[in-house]
Amino acid sequence: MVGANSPKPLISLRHVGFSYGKPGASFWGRRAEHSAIRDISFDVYPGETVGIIGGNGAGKTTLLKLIAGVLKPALGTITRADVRISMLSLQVGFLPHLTGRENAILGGLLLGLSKEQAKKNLALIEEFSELQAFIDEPFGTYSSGMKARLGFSVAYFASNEVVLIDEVLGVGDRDFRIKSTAAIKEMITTNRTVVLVSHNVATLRETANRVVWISEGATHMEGDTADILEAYAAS
Amino acid sequence: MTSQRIWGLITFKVYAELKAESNRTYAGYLWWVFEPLLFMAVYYFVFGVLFGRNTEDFVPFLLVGVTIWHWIQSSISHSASAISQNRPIISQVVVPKYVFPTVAFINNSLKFLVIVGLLLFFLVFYGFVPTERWFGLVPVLGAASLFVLGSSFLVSAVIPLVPDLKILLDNGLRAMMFMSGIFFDIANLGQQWQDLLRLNPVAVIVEQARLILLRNEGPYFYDLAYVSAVGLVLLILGATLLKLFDHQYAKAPW
Repeated sequence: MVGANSPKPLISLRHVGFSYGKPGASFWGRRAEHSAIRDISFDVYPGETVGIIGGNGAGKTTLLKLIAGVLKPALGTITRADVRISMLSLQVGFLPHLTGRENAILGGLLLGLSKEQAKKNLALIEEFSELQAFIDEPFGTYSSGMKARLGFSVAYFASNEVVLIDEVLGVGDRDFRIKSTAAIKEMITTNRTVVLVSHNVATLRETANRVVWISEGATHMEGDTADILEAYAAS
Repeated sequence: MTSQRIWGLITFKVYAELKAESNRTYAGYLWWVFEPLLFMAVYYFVFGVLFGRNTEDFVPFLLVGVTIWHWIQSSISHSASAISQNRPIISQVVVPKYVFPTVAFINNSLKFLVIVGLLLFFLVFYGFVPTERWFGLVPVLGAASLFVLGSSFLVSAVIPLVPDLKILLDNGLRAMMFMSGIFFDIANLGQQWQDLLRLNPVAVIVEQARLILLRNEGPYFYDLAYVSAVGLVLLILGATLLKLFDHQYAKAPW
């Protein structure tokens, strides 16, 4: 396993805790004690794919946002090596009145690309999304399938060394779903580092090197994919 | 993100928002000219035709004040909602938060530059002779920009976290408009009131612009230094707060 051979983790979580809730609300005596994450620890090593499994409301999405740096842990620490980490976020910042091409640039910039890179990606995005002439039409006129195609293509070509994926393996209409799933799987199997959140056992069995099982905001079990998934399925 | 990337993002977002905004209407970019022409026409009609003639050059006096106020007010109130309007972005990608008020400021300032052009055109049409002194408007608007950007940063940092302040801001802006001598000349007030009102940077900005354009006088160094200093303090304070609260905006439930 990759993780076992590499001594230095890229990302390291230690007793991470986080809760949404109004900071000032306690003043009025109705403090929201909704705790999303209580105590999570695990490491992510270069090149591996770590699967995160857990039921609804276990805090999986929040966990990805913490790893990405969008949110900051209230408790514990997250250390990151000097690599670019980003969520595979679809349709970030897209505006309905802009064309597909313009949204692709805007999305690329927001996902951390330089303007040159974002423009360079246009040809790849145009080809992969198969939007053809629609790429120059306003995004607001797209069908939901077309929106998904563009959103996925932009995120896919803007993805960084470390990719955080939240359930979205394939999106869009049937053909594109197959194509995008294949693209993501290829990305996962190459030596890209991936943290993949899912409640789909089959997906994780196929892709993850290691699985972390999150339950009620804490690390419940962590280890070999087959072992953890077996225990999870039995629960 | 490197500063070059951030600047790329800011400029493209300015372009994207302006285009998206203009595409919402049939006349599009023409509204940049039509809208100020309309409000100038309204002020001209009300104060120049209905009430007019008793005060000399009241319409140009008013228009200089109104256009500058329009810029300051719209930049600040757009910045107040800049971060919450970009919630979908903030909750998914790591991006320095000052990007959003900066975009709002640049957007409003570009529109304002068109209005300044129209205003100068109107003044010439009205009978004022342009002189080299009109270039004095550049440092005045430069100092004013520092103040507006600083206010925008501060407002954008605080209001998403304490939305209640938006109500105070709206009323505060209205109060500021009346205390900035938009509709009257501060110089006509008693000395102690003049001194008090000139603590308000907007009043100073408006007065300096009027001196340059209508009286062929100024701009005065100390007044501009005062506006710049206040602007710099606000800018540093706002930028510090935006950095300090950086992770709070994605967390806030609204």
